[in-house]
Amino acid sequence: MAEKLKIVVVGNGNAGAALVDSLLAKDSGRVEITLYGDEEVGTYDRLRLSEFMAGTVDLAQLGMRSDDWYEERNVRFRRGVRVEELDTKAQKVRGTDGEWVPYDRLVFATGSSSSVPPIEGRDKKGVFVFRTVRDVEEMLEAAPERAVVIGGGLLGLEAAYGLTTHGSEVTVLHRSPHLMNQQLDPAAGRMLGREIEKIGIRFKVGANTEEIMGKGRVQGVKLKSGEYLPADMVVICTGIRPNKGLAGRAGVRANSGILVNEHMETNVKNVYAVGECTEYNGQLIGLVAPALEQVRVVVDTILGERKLVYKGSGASTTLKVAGVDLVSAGDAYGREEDCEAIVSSNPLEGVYRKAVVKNGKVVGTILLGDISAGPQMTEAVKRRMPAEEVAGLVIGSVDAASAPLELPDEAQVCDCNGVSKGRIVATIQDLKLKKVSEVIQETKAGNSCGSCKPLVAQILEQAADEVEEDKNYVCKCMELMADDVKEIVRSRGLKSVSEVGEACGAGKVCPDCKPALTYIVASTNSNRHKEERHARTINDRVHANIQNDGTFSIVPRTYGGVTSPDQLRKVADVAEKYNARMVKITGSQRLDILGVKKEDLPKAWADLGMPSGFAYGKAFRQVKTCVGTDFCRFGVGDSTNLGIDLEKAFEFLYTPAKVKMGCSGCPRNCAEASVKDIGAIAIEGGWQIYVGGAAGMEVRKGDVLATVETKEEAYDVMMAFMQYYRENGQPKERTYDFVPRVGLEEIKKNVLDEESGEPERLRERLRKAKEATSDPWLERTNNVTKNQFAREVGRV
Amino acid sequence: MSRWVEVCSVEDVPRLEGRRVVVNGFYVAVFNTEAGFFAVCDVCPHMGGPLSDGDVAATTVSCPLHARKIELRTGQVKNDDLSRVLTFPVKVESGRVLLDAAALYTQPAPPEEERVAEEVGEEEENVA
Ligand code: SRM
Ligand SMILES: Cc1cc2nc3c(=O)[nH]c(=O)nc-3n(C[C@H](O)[C@H](O)[C@H](O)COP(=O)(O)OP(=O)(O)OC[C@H]3O[C@@H](n4cnc5c(N)ncnc54)[C@H](O)[C@@H]3O)c2cc1C
Ligand code: SF4
Ligand code: FES
Repeated sequence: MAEKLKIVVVGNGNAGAALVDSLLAKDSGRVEITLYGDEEVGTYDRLRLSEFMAGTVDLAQLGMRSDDWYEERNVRFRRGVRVEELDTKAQKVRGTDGEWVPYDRLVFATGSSSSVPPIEGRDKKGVFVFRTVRDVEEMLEAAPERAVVIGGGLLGLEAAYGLTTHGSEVTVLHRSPHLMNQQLDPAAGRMLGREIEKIGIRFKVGANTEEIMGKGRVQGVKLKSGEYLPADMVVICTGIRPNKGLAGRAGVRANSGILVNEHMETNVKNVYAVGECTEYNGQLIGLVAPALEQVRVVVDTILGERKLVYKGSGASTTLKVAGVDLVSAGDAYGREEDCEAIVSSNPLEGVYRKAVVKNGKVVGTILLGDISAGPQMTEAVKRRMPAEEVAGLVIGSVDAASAPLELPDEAQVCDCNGVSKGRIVATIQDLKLKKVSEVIQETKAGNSCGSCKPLVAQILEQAADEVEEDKNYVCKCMELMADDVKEIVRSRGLKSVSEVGEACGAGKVCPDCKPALTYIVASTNSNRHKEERHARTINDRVHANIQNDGTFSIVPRTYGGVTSPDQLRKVADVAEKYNARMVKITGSQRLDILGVKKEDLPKAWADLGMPSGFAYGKAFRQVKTCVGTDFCRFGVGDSTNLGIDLEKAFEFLYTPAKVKMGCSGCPRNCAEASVKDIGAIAIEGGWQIYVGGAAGMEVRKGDVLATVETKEEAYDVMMAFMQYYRENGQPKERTYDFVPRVGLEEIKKNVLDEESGEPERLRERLRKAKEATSDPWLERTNNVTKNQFAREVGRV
Repeated sequence: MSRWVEVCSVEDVPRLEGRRVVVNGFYVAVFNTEAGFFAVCDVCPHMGGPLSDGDVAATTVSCPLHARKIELRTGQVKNDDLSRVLTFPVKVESGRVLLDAAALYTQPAPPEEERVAEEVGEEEENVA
């Protein structure tokens, strides 16, 4: 067997990771790769760091690869090891682990670091940069009340946004007269400023920082103007500096970055460089697309025919700040001579579209507020298309959706993952893809920053014989909607999830949809279905909520949040007896005994002698109440007892998604009824009924469904709505989505018109379904499956 | 070299569910699927979730903590880049479930109560 080519990659960022992928894809049998990365966490997608900071993705979704991933592919990944020394004569490198590793080819992918200008006080505690997972973790841990971000470019705004989502008050200081002055002209910069303010970020332009103040720790920032801004954190986002030190020490030529030619070769034999550490033709790069282009070139240089060349690349940027739509590409200013601009601007709506034109060709663009023409415009810049072709889009006389792009096959659609139109079209046709989600999954186009998704959709539209929307299937494997399954269940009189599986295949291939199928089978049969426990999740198999360590929590029902000394005593005893990890008062006015072992659940329930509070299921949860007329000097309605009555009417009922309720005795609304799925607020002379409220992942004020005079009427309206939702909600659809989807008017028609008899029929069906339920905690003596609560079923 | 051990009876594991058995101190999850019985290590490679409490269909179990899906024949994680789960050959003989636990006897038994990850999960695919 021939000797393998030893390739050492220094740096494990976006470029280094992509390089390893391409090398493996090109010829994994011929190469032996050693990868160094000095960040402890391993591989991740730096572009999505702002999403990580905002908490919308976790580390796993950031693209972390396990050490096993590398092992399985025979890549020697030296995680957390920094290369310190390079001997280009002997062709070997030494990392902080002390070992010398020989190479045949070495590629620098060391990226860059944040550059920190020499501001007085920059080494104080509480001063951060925004570059790595570690930076983000430290910032979040510091949880500042007031932060100042120095630098109002792309990075600074993303940092500011991330901190804002965690409740910090943020001010961005920017030296130039408008934000993102690299990518935006003054008009767009000003408009962006207004949009940024709308999401709660403050900023000052023309602001020069003089000193970061504080005794050891940041306390504030002083500006040259004399102004002082108090702050307990400062984040510096003023630019980047290529990591070229190691190269320089080893005699590899560098200027601002490591100097490379069009084949990504350095001045030293067998040493190459890619990514943000490079300088080509006087150009540094700060984006991932050109870095990936360089990766393709270097792979061709090392393993291929040395035919590909890198020619420098124009930059296009999207801002990843929720609620602000912005695309900028090419020369957005029109700085060069003889540049002209086509502009349409509507500051009232925050919409700005611009095409910069030179000699009749499009060379730059800015889209703010309306980025529907993003794909067309960035493509126009890349290919220097004639201005006439896009003028209508900019002015707004042509609708972006109706102006499909005619791209050549080699045009790159996804800059992040380097996917061409040709490949997307071929994949769509080969695999007969019909949906955008399938195309993204198969080609990876649109999988990273997501800005090319609209273009992917357009290409699909053109290339596929038939396009299907990505539907909200209840069973993805069989592509069945909830209504399809309901119809099958109803028309054939099916009684169990297994029968549904036999009839249409749902729930046979993967377990994902089985809980939803259970709900459909049970509700369609008014709970006279055949219960199958394999079709419920562990929570509903053991009637408790599973926790991170595999133990469970117990929330007994305390109707309306009212408890008694006797119950409290029992809860205390149970917690002690079964070594609970914690006893807690929940956000819903209930008692939670957390960390009970599965095998102890039946005994604990017996000791408590209280019914299940269903805190673990897609089911009716509880009614939060206030002390109402019985105690409160402002109470005008008996909220406590209405709540208790409702809790008794609804307990043990499953629902499409969980249902939480509240009853308040007066408009002071201490029980927060207006942000519950169903709520009642007593007013002088009656009750207001709210539906569709939420204060969880979404915050939505409920809509007033009805205003009624008596407690009994309130109870009736809430019953009718509950059943209407149980029958018409999609699986997993909370009322905050259900109510706007169906529309308040439609709901009113069905649940309020007592003359029609429909509300009473709804209540009747609810009572019928309720009759067939019981307290699941009674299964403590009446196991439904063998070894239902067993810790283990055998030991050898 | 194989080492077959009898771990439970066929009835101990309800249809399309999993149950835990302990072999030489190691947690093993046994599943009763329509394609027969399967046994895999009962510690999810993501954050240590108990796979025996997971949801089963065909030859897949979905972890109860954050829904990583594991193919029971191969131990491969289908929806994440995670190392595969150890699988054990299983046979059923006159109503008894036996598994080849050779791999579990080449190392010392783990101390009790130390097999579950301590970290907190952060996804909510399977939330109540
Ligand atoms: C225990 C409790 C927190 C506390 O310490 O107080 C809690 C704990 C959990 N909540 Fe909650 N929620 C609790 C009150 C709330 C509240 C406040 C309330 O009920 O008034 C909310 C906001 C209101 C709402 O639901 O809209 C709330 C919004 C959520 C959400 C977001 C739902 C949404 O669609 O917006 C989830 C995730 C989900 O359901 O998909 C969630 C999911 C969870 C789960 C079940 C996650 C899981 O599957 O493991 C947590 C179980 C922890 C455990 O280990 O047992 N929890 N959760 C509260 C139990 C209430 C009870 O007595 O039943
Ligand atoms: C918050 C943020 C948001 C961004 N958003 C976008 C965006 O939306 N679009 C876009 O195109 N670009 C964006 N970028 C820029 C993009 O992330 C970079 O262009 C890209 O990551 C550069 O890749 P790289 O591999 O060259 O460098 P890096 O990703 O910096 O990787 C270099 C790695 O090498 C390591 N290293 C350095 N020296 C050594 C050594 N001696 N030994 C071992 N390891 C070493 C470093 O620690 C680092 O992990 C963003 C950047 C940040 C910070
Ligand atoms: S907010 Fe709710 S779901 Fe999130 S960690 Fe707390 S209890 Fe768990
Ligand atoms: S522990 Fe299994 S998916 Fe997270």
